[in-house]
Amino acid sequence: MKLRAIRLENVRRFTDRVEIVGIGDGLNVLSAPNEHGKSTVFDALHALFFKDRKSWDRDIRGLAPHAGGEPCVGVDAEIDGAACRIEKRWAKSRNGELRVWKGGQLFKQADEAEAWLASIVKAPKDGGPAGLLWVRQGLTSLGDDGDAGRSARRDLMSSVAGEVEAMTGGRRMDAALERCVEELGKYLTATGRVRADGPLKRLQDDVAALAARRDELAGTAERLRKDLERRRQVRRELEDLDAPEAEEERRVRLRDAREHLETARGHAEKLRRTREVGERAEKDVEQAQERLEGLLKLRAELGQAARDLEKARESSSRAGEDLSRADAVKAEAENSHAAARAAAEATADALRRATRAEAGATAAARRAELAEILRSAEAYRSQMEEAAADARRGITASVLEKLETLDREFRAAKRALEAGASWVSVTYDDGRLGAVSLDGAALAGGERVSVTKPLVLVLEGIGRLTVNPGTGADASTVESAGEAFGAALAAAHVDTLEAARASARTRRIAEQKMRDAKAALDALAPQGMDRLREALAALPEADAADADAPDRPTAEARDRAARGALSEAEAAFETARTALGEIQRRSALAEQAVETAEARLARARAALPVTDDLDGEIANREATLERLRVVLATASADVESLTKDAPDLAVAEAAFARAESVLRRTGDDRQRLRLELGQLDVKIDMSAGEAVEEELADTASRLENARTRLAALDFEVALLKRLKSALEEARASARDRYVEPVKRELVPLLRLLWDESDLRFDAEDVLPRSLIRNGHEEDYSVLSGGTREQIALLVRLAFARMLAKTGSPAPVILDDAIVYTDDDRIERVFDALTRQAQDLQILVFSCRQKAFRELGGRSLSITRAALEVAPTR
Amino acid sequence: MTEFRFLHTSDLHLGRRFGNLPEEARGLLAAARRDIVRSLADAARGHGAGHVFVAGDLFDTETPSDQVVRHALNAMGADPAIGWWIIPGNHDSLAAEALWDRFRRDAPGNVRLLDRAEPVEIAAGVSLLPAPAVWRHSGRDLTEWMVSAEVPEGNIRIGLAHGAVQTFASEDGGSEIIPPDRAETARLDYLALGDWHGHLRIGERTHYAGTPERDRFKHQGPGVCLAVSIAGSGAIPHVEPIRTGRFDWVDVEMPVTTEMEAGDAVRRALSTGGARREDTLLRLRATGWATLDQRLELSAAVSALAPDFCHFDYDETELATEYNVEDLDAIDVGGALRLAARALLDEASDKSLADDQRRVAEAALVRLYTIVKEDAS
Repeated sequence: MKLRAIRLENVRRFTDRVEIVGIGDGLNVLSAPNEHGKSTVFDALHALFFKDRKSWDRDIRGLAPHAGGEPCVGVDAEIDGAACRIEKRWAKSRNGELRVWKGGQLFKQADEAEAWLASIVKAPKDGGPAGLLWVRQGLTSLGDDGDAGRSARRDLMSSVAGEVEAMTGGRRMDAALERCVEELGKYLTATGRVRADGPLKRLQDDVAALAARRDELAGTAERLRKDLERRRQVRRELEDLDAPEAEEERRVRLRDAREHLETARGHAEKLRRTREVGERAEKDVEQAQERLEGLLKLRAELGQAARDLEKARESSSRAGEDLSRADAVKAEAENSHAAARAAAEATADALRRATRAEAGATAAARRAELAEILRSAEAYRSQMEEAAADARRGITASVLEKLETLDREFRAAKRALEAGASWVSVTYDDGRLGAVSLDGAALAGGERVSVTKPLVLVLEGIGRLTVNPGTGADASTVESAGEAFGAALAAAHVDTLEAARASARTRRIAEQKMRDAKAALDALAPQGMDRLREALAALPEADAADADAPDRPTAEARDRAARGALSEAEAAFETARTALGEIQRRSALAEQAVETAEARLARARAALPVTDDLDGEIANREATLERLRVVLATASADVESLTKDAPDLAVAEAAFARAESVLRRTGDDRQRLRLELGQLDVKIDMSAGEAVEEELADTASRLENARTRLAALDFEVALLKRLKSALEEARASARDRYVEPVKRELVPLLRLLWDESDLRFDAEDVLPRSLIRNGHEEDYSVLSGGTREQIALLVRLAFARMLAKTGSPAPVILDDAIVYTDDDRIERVFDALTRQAQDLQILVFSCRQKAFRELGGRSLSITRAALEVAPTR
Repeated sequence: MTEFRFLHTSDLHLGRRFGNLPEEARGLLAAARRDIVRSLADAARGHGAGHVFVAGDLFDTETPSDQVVRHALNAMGADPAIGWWIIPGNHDSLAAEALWDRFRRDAPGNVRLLDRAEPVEIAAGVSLLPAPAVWRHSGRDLTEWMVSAEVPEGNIRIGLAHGAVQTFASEDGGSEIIPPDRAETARLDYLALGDWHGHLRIGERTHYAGTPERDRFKHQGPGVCLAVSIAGSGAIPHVEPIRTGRFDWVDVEMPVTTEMEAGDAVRRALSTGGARREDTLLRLRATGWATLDQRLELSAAVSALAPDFCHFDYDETELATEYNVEDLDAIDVGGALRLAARALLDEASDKSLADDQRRVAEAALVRLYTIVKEDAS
């Protein structure tokens, strides 16, 4: 169905007939401010399709204007390709009218028309899906339309995917799952842990308790068994111990061992004594031998000491002789040495004198020479000083040159002045010659006087004539040149240039003279006069002439010979002295050796025993030693023979100790075993009646039984868990499949708003349950108003598409359905709307005129109807 | 010489507690076991026997409680006219010194413990050759000495022993073997054996009496003792079992096919059972194949019958389930329930999965079926 026009009359504020015409395919927007009747249009349309013509309930009464009147609503629609007109009028008398025209002909009316209308707006079944395509102002949430809405959605879904009951198992599934959960709840908590007060836990506890009891009993039984075994063993051991023949055997063994031990001990004592005798003899022999050796050594020492003393004394006397000889040699060498030293001193003195004489002669010649040079040098110096004084009196060449230059300039200036200057000349009348004077001098007639300066001419008898040169001739240059020249002359202390020239010549000659004298002086005394004088002073004064001084070569030869002799004498003396020292040392050593030998002899003598007869004593001692050796040999032989056939004492002792200990231990064992037997008897008697094994067998079989039951219970739990998971999985997958068609339509729209988003549906209500954005799931109820509103809109669009696909397209009518949405998001919502509008008819009523201008689509308006439209009745 | 009559019994296992059974059955069985000595005495009197030979395992363990021992002795001593001749068996061997010390001390005059392998002339012209078990596992044939045992000429020779015969394994898996021809080789007129809990004839002179009160499903029927009469040395003994046991242990296999009606199957299976259901311990083992419906019906039928019995054990581990499309349809023809059922069935029949997992899946499917069925009714 597609709407083409809507007409209202007597509907709330529209008491007059109004119409909205030109509703096109796709998107249509009726944008008007509040209170312009948009919702009225919406409600009227809704009433037309869903309110029976005979009703006059609150909704219909709400449509009537305040002034009263019967509301009338009509639409032009295109249904299955045919143009239809539907008009419904409600009446207070509850007998409203409904007429349908098709192709201009009245098609149906009254109840038949109602039935037809119902079939149009309701999809395959009653409560069809049309309702869900209406979005009333402020009704943004999908669930707000209650059971009717749900059943409409479910019907639509069912028409596409099948019955939800059939899909998800419905109540039977719920019941099965509930039963399963309930059964499972007996054993496990909701979180899957074993329920503390449940049968599973009780059985587990039973098993644990029985197992513990079983282990405990097994332990007790094992202890009892061991005790019994031990008692048998103890009894057997006691029997063995108490056997009389064994006891007798033990006693006999002890007696034998004791006898044997005593024999062995007697023998051992005898051996010990014999050994003592032998050891004593051995010691005596050693002692005697030691003493004898001492005497023999002493005798040898005495002889050796006497011989050594003799030899030392001989050496000592020989050393004394050598000493006196060496003394004599040394005295002689000493004398020779003194004589040689005297001779050498004499020759050295002679040589000194000869040398001094020769030096005196040389110095005198040199002094004369130096004095001559000094004299010449003095002469040159005075010459030089005179010349220098002369030179200082004349004019220098440079001063002269300056004078010359100034002179030339002065003369040049004079000439230049005169050449350019005015001139006066007088031509005297006869008689008047000389009447004109200048500067006191009469001016010659005809003489030109250059006026280079103001001239005052005295005209005799007349007065004074002043001639001024004016600017044409300036005499100042000449004057200054003349002044400069004059000043230079004065400075040079000359009067004329000629005198200056003569003075300069005189100075040049004097300077030449001075230079010559200085060169001569420098040649004589290159290092100055003072050095000459010093050299002269350094020369030795000549001694008084040593007439008998020998000549130097001779003196030198004599001196060399004397010194050679002296050094030989010195060597001889040193040799003699050294030899004497050595001989003195040897002599001292020899004397010391004598003393040592004497002391050694004295010591040897002191060591002599009192007896005088040393050799006799030695013989005596040798005899004693021999006797003692015989005693020792006898003792050794005795020990050897006794040791050879001695019984083993240690073995005898051990045998006796063992025999004794066996007897003792037998007693101890008997005592101990009897005690243990008593204890065991008590223990066994006490536990034998406790039926431990009976109890154990019973507990073990109970445990086995409990375990079997536990296994059965575990199996039951596993079964229930498996069943629960199977049911839940199946239901979840069935629900997913059920909502699949709407999701197929919805998800592309959703992703216009949120990338990668998804919506989870509640299969029962066919409502979105949660939104998944960026992998994060948010419950629908916690989403913002705007988001919810957008989702609600998109879901309706999705349903509309599904409806269109089932072959019964219906217009989507939105009355201010987008109120919470911000401007940015609204763009995308518009995109979604535009996209859907390509094959759906969408009517948007909005008060947000500005925002919705961007939506595009066909613009609608409510206009006053041109003429009475109601077709012929 | 007059005919010699005696009672042959064994394996009383006094003190056994049946911990693997539920409390009620346990109490009943324990009481029956306590009363067994009196029943034996009654049987002896009924048979005109002056002697009862107990071929081992009078007691269940080496350390029965004082009460158990005293009750037994008192019951035996109640009629001094009957002589009780007892050898220890593997359960109560002579190693249980404490037990037998007490026993000797407290036993009345008509009760004799035979603790030595030597002939005892128990009556004029009758020699008893006992083979008491010295240890739990003696590791040798204890009857061997009987071959060379000398008794007065013309005396009836009766052997008394406990243990397995070569032809079958011992109840306790022992390795000590009594040759089956021991009666012949030892010139015994009768060899009274114990250890096997059922009555068993080895030869005309060799018998196992079995326990007088059964204690497991292995041996069918109520317990008996053997009343034996021997006309004289060399005569073939006359052996007659006398029922002494109160409880009947019945193990029934119930073959099931998918065509069978469940109630019928149960009824048929139980028709062979003992008459007195309250004294019957029944193990019903369902085998074969059943549909899901049949399973439910079988369980229902069994649940209805179980209270009749002293103890009822329904074992369906060997009963396989046959599924068909109708079963799944019964759960749901489509939708999530069908999906769940299908998943469980697939898992149950997936041979690549572990047995446990398959079993759980199968049981879960059966449960689902049950729940849905119950819900529908």
